[in-house]
Amino acid sequence: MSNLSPNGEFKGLKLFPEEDILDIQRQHKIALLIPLSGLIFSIVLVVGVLISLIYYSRNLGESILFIPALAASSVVLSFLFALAGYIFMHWFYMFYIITNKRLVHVHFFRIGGFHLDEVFHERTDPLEIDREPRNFFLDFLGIEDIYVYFHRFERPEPFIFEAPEDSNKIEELLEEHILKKRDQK
Amino acid sequence: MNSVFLLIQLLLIVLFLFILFWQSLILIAMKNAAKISKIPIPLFWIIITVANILFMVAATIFTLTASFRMLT
Repeated sequence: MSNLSPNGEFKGLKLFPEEDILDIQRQHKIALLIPLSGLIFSIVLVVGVLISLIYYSRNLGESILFIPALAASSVVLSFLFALAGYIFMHWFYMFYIITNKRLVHVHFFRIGGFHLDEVFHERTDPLEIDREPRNFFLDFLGIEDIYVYFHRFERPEPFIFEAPEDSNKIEELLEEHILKKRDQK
Repeated sequence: MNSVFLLIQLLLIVLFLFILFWQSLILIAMKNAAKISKIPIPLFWIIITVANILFMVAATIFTLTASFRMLT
């Protein structure tokens, strides 16, 4: 990835001694495209309404309805643009990072919610790794969520990679570096 | 009838200000994210965000002026 420095470090994450980054992934672009395409369609629709309002403004100019209609479509348009920006930034600044010591889910862009979720797999043995598509459409495209279950009292819930870019690579890495290590013990 | 439309316009101004506040929050969060992660914000989205803020300010002033005209 472009945000990796030449020595393989991710500039946004401080690493522990002897910790190496194995892989960094964002969510798959499809996870961004589905909501954004709906928004773009709505933006085009509202821009169409705005243009037709302005085009017919000669007739509507006298009407009391013109200003509120124009303002209402502007409100909807600016709301859609703000929402599109939020959705993109949420995707752009969210990473799944796998190192030889921990699994990290980090949100750099946040207005609310968590910044960092990490599990030190070195200290806890993962029980199993499941791959599950979220819906039929994502299943068809071969985009799956990965659930990593841990045998850990403090963290009963699994660590979830939601629709990562390359679920095969993540599963291979986890099996290679985590499960194999457990077998060697 | 005039007062109903005036009320609608005032409501729209409140909505504009609310979205303006939200958009400003997004802009601040973007700046913070870029600072922490050391990944620059894509230029396209900076332009979109700033343009949206300017558009909202202009639309609020326009609606406000129209409301005052309606009053007088």
